[in-house]
Amino acid sequence: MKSKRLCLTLVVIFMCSILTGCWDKVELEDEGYVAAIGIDKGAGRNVRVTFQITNPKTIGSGRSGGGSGEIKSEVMTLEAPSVLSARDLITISVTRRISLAHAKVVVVGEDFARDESFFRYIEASLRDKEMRRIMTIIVSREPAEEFIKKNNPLLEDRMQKFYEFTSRRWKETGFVPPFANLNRFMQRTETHGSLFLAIYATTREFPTKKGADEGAYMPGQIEKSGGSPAEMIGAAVFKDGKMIGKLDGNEMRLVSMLRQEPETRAMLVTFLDPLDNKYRIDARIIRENRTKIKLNLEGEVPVIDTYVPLTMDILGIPSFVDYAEDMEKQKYLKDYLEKYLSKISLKLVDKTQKEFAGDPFQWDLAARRKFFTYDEFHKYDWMKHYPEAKVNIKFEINIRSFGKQLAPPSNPMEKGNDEGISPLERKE
Amino acid sequence: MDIRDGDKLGIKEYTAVLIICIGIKATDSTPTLLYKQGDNAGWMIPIISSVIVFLSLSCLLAVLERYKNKNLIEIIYHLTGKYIGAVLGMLFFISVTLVSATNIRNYVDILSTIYFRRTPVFVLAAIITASCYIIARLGVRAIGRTAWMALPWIIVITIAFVILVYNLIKVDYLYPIGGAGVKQILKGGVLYSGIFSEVIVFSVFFPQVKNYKSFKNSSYIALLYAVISISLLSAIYIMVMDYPPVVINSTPFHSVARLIYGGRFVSNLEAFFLLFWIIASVIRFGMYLYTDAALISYTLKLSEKKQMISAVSAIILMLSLIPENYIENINIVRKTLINLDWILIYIVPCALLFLSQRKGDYKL
Amino acid sequence: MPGTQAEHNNQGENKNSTSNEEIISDLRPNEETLTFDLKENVSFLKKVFCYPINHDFVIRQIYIKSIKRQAVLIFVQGMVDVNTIENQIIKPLLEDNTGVIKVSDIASSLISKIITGKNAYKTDSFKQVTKEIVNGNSILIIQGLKEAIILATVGYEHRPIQKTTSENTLKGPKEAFIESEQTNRSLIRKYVRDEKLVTETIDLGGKGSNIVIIMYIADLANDDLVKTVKSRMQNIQADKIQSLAILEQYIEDRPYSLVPTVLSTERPDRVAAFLSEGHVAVLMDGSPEALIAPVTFWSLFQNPEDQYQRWAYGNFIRLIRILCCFIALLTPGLFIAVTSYHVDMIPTDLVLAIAASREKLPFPAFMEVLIMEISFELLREAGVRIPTPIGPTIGIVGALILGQAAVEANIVSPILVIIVAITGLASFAIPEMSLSFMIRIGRFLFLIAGASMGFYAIAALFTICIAYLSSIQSFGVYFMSPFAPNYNSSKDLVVRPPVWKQWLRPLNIKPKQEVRDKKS
Repeated sequence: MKSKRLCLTLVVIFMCSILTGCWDKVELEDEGYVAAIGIDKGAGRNVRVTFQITNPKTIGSGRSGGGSGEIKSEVMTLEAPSVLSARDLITISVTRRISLAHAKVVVVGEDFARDESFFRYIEASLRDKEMRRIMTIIVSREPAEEFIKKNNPLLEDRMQKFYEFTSRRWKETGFVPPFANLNRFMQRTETHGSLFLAIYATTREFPTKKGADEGAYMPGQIEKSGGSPAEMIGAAVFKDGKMIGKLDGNEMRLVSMLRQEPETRAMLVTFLDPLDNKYRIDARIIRENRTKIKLNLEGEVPVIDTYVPLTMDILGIPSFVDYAEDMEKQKYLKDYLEKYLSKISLKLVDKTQKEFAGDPFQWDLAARRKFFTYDEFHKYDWMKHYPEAKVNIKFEINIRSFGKQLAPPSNPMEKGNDEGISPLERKE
Repeated sequence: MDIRDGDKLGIKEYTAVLIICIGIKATDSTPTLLYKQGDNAGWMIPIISSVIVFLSLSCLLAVLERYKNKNLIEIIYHLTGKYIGAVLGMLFFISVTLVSATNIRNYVDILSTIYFRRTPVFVLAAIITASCYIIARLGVRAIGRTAWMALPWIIVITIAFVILVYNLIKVDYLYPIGGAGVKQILKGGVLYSGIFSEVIVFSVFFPQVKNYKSFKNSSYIALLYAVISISLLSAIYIMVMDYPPVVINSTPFHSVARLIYGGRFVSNLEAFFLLFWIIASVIRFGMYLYTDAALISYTLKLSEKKQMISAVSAIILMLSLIPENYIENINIVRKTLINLDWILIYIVPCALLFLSQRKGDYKL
Repeated sequence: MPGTQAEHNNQGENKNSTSNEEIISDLRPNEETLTFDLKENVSFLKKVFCYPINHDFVIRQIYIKSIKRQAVLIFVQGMVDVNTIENQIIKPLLEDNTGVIKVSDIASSLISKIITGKNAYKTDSFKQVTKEIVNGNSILIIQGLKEAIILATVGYEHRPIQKTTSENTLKGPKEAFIESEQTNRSLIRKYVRDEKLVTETIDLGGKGSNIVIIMYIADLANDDLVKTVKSRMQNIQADKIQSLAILEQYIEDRPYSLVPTVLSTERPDRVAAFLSEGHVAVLMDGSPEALIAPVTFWSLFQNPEDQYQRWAYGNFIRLIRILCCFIALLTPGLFIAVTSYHVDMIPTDLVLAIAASREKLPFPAFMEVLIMEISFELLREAGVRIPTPIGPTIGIVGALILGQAAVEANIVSPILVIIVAITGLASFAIPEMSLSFMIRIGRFLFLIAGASMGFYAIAALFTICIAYLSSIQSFGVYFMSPFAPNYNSSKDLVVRPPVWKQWLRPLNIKPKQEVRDKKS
């Protein structure tokens, strides 16, 4: 009985000594929470790693909150042989232990993204526990360091929030690629199936492009004043872990329409009014159904038939042409839109085939179904066959509504037309 | 009416133990092994394995039905004699010991790579072994009841997991449907049927289960459930991560859990899943420890099972610390073990059935 | 020992000349029987009760006319109802009823023909006589009779039936047990009108009167169970058991465990509900509560109100309560685990908010929680002990001012005050005292686990706790049954079915009838 009790005591003491080790214990205030990691090319084999560490005091708890007087974050850049080693190295001047647990984005300078070694550095850093595969990749036209330093949104007190919100913007606008996270990046690169699209951004001013369509911009080209200098639009195209090109906002939207899965469900677009070239029609494109891809891989070159069903709300007709109640005009509009969309889509496909030699539309997923074993598919090498493929694209547009009003008001510019003649009877 | 007749494992408790012990394999490195064998069709392997295990289980059940109130080891002794019986019993014991040790190590490594970077492996292993030891000391019935109480939560959490990853899923990743080819998958089905070895090995507790019918039904239900959960989760990992990357990943469950993003407020939930994963694994290894102790004490015909638990726990803890790192553990040791286990699992039940047929123990 | 008895008697006669020290003797009646001599009997009793020092010991001389004999009525003042004695005993005895009494059997005919008291019987054992006097009955000893007549005159003071104090409900009966066992029994019988409701008295033996009352429904309660309860009581070695609360500690299964295996309640309706499921209730004079055995986790967890409220409302409070159990048990541990090991889990904004509020604090988070938890327990304990008029104030002073001041003095962070307050609130919402204690103490274990190894240790400890709970037995019934091990029952566990579906008794306690009676 006594020996039993002694044994028990020993075991308890032993367990206690084990448990009080607390090797992984941290105190919240000892940590510096990184919001964004920036990676650039450094001298030699090194990389320049930028950490943006949020200042927790910006919104403290109630009374003790510092508020607007405090700086939002501390940005530090240093050269290190790898992303991980930078974490330790940075402690030479930062008091806090670096925690990547709440990092939301990886910003990569375009120069480095176009470098062969980029993928290797990123892959290696992913082995760390705290690097999350859910982090968004942003490619900045300038070095990442500059992007992070210059980006200072006034609305957000915490940088984490800024990145979190902006990287989710694809859901509403489609200007940036959806799910541009490390997980998808790794996966596309390792499967060699299709191209990976990352968010393209800048804080620099580039020569502005005036009078372009709503999305035909690269970041930095938009005529804009005020607000934060950061602009995110378009996509950086990665092939085999290396950036090879870029897409502007409009192209990005087309890509998302041509992909099978309707990821961006609604976006606002404008089209040239087919009956009045001075004006553009405002519309909302709604994707409810999957884009259907039919593949024929039997022949010499693969034949891809793409069928895109779209639903559209016409929101504004500044030309006052009555598309709403005139069935013929409506049909004309539909035909025009379908043809127009497939024309620009084919142009985009052509660009991807020639310029990128890879497919950003994830059509390889459809190609997968054509094979029985993975080896066969792997041997076929979709990436190699895609540039030669013959692509047919057919859009089908279903105009669901014309906004809240039925017919547009009679045109006040045209004299004498206001009275007696209904819009339907009016001749062009 | 004796007030203490709850001293046997009911159908619910035994099923719960089996489901937890087998189903949890979907969350360790087992899927990785499956993908290595069957590429992106690795999720089909458990289905094929289960068919094979089902046949073997049926043989075993036929034997068990003849010898009521005898456990697996006693039947082996009865049918094969003193020496072969002892050898087989020891083989079972060694197999379960090694399986427990490698699995504990596997789990500890997962914990160590994803959650507790700086904590020594020994400490992590010691904590899990100690907890399992305590549970095992409370006896198989306590384990059964614990499993039964934990099971609803674990199922709810699994369903929550599936719902949360639903956004990330792309069914297309499952194609090409054939994966590594029919031959490879079939081969995998045979080689990896060790995944379901518990349904056979746990028949050492046959006398502790309420009756033959509950034992039979439990085994079948648990087998079905385990197949569904392992296959489904393995498929989900592929659908989230796509085929080649999923192989590179040593802990698909936890990696996928880290990807879960339910909006700004529900992110980074992996630690939440950890909570339930630990509960399940403590129950699982507690059961293993108890099984192991039971096997050795039946084989050596010892009366005190509880004394053996401490010895067995110590052995398993030490063995689990031998492999140098994670990859060595899963690639070499675990794979070999799972692959070797099936011999024990197929041959023994069939041989027992054959022997008992020859002995003519029909009416026993 | 007749010799000693004679000696005692001699001493008794010389009492006038003896001092107090000599009067106080350690004489306790054992096997002695009454004699024909009235004087001898009386002096023996005087000796036993240390008369005349003992002022409560009253000897009333009566001359019974009907039989023309001297008699003595003995009782202990304060234990008896004076009215009863006057009206039902002394008055009839003094009346002249000559001729009614047969000389051959005086005692019996006195009982049957003259005394109007509700209960009377005769005995010749001094031990019995002493015990009855102690219990508040009166003794009539008649000259020339070898027997004493014991008359039921119990009537001591107790408070009237009052409202429940600790197990309050909004709906349903509100009366609570009081210190009188008879009243308590009548309260129970009021709710269980069943001819099979049996009241057994068990004498625990030992010095003085240790009488315990066991109640059960004879055709429901399992025989084994009743036997176990009785044998546990009979095995008690203690000489004196003052109240049920002490008795509870003698008969429970695991005295060192945090888990209670006997339930004590102050609500007669609750006892009734348990009885009709086949449990056994234990009562004792002087204890304003009843013990229930066996108990399961569910009987501790459930509250009569759950059944009284409508199905949806009752289940709502049940769900709130189970939430409370988890919150009270786990919150501090989980908080520590999350903030020290699983920082990823907290939403970014919250992490930064906590980090900001902790910037200036001198203690690690664990110490912070410990300080707050302990001060909360202090407050709670102080609140119970403090005289009622100041009671509510302590809550305000403690909770508001202390918490506020601690935050302002940069000793704890505001979020922690919320955590501790929520935890405390949750533990108040658990109605059963034992369960509440179990959870309050268990919380510290989880706190240590969370601080030492995060979710890993919490989950492991939690599993161990479940396994432990499921292995505990209360009088042979598993603590977590009928859930685990699983038995047929009405599924009245965390949530309950509508009352008309609860026709099955929980089979884990093995009632003799499994199904509740329906109108046939």
